Amino acid sequence: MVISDEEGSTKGQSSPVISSDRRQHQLRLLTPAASEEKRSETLWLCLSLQKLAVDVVASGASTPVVVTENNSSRVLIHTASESAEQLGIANGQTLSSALALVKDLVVCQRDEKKEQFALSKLAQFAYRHFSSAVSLDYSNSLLVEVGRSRQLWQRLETIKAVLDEFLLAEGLSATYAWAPTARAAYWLACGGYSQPVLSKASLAQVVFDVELHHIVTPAQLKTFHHSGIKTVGDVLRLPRDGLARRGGRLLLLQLDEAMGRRAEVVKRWYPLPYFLEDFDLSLPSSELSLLRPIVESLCQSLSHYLQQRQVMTRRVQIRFLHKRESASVMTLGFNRVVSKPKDFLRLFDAQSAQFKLKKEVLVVELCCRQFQVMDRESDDFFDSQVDGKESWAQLEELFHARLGEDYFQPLVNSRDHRPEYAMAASACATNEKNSLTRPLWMLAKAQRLNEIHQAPYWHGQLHLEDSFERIEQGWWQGDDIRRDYFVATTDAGAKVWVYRDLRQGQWFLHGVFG
Amino acid sequence: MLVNSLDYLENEKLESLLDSTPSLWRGQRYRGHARSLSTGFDALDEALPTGGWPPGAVVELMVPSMGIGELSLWLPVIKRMTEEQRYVIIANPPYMPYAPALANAGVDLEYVKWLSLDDEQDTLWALEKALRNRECGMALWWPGTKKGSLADSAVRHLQLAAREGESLLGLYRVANDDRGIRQSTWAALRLQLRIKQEGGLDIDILKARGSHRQHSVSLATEAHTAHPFLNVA
Repeated sequence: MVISDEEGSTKGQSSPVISSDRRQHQLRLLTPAASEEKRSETLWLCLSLQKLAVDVVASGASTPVVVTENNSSRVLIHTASESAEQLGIANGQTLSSALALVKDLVVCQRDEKKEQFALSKLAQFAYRHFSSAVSLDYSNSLLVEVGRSRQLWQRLETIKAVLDEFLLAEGLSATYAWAPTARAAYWLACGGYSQPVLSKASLAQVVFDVELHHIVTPAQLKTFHHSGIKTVGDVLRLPRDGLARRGGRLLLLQLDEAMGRRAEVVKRWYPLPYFLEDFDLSLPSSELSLLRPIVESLCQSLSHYLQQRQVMTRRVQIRFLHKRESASVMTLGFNRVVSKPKDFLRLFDAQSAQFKLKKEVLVVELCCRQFQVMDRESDDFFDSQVDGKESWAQLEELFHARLGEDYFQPLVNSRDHRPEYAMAASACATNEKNSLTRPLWMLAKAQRLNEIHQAPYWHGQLHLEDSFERIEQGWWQGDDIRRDYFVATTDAGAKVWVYRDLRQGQWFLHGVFG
Repeated sequence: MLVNSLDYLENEKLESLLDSTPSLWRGQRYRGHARSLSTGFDALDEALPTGGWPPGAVVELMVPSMGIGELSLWLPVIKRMTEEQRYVIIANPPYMPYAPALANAGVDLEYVKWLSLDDEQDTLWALEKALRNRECGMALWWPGTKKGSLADSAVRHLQLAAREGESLLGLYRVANDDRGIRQSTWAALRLQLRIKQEGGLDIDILKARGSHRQHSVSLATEAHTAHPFLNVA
């Protein structure tokens, strides 16, 4: 469903009634604004990366390179580098025929994942710098609506220079085109027309010369060529009904969109709601220490990502992918929000001493899905560590990373009079003091003592003090105790805490006065 | 070379250098360090050249057995550290530290952490990290209670970490023979604890950085809730 404000194109179509919010939603998809005045401001920049497949696998190679794709049993050239094209190699050719033409041809397998990644990285860059209206809808092309940010950048050359710099850093090559509609911009970019076309009036002249093979399917192209139709201009000169019959209604609609006679729908690209980046290892490795530089670079790009969004995280996952084996996963959990690479690496280093990789690693993947709005308290602009020393929270993170869960035993003081229950973790904690004599050391389980001449014996005869403390409690919980506790001295002079169980009459060692 | 000692006294720069550097002292005349921590026992403070526990150091305690007041000796410092909201780690003790007794001694349990690790390497790693931490005040460690014995280099590492973090480490070593006692050590202070037959604790200062003398101190013997031996000042 497309809404158009142009009278001509809605003829013959009864425009349906659209409820207001649905209409609004749809209007958001429509890039050209309603009034003629505003429409002239809309300017799409198209970057056509026709050599993307080559650039991502063999950037900057001076020798002729081809990227191949398997088509059933045949190996076809998907993209040939410029130098290869000059030697007569064309896309769609079989590899064997290309090799017959050029002997020292560098042949690479197509890597679609890398292409996708490069495109989304480019889209992200454009999204950040120029406009929120970014699209990857057209194949191997990036479309950015720069009309709205023209005032900011002032000159189109500046925009181009910024993009050029990025492309150079990424090792990509692209052709530029500027037009008032996205489709026309794409067509012009494919046709290699790089002069900015700012108004629709001048668009018509330029688009007229675009060759048809950029627009139509090979089958359609054949039909048109038979009729001697070679350019867009030739097509546009045909009567509309005849064109619809020959080229299909879709082509007619596309032509209308390109010429701005009909509102076009451009599927927008949005950045992922989470961070995911991976690194393919050219040489599989099972040494975690060798993977550290890769993790470091991934952490850096995560940090960059977080800073761009003004968010921080508490949880990062590093996945080491293996061949025919589930991934080895390392989770970095923080007890405060962080965003700096060195925070991630600190925990990675602590954890890597214990971490076991299941097998050789092929891919390292860094994933972060949980974000928190940047908290000024938790991370300073400058280094949060005072004179280079860590805080206790950072230390606990480190401990957690290397030592697992139970490195600290609970120390709880509760009101229960039974000594073993007075420090039970489940009991309600208190910081109350009392005047009872209690030893600093407790045995996890009272140790049964032998008796010699009716007196307890532990490393020699125990000398009991006269006074004792009777503890008789807990019968209502089914775990009642009835004991007489004594402070006793060993032969060596150490002080211990012993009790006599009044129900069984046996002696037990329960604590040591440390 | 003879140098007039008066010149020394008048040299303020030298004085301030001596004050600020724990590893510098005048022979026989260590005056105590501004940042040293009182042990809580007057007699012991006087006997120690630093006038208290040395700042940022490992203190080795040679103990014949448990139950002689080896933990009570530290209670005043533990109490003060937790009051200052600095963490105290009790690492791999042979028995469970009993929370109610610690609370009775006025220790804030929130800042006392009982570290229990099976692996000695892990414990060393954790202690080193903790001693360097700015919020950790001190640690007490019973090495080798689970397995293995402590290497000399490990003590040195810990001594460096303690110095950097200005924290204290009490290192308990069971010493029943003279050999262990005479062995050289990297620790800044080495004390031997002995039990007195009439009750109480004798402390021999076997090594103290800043002094060549060997002292012996007797600590009070009145009954106390934490330990029947020691009367904490």
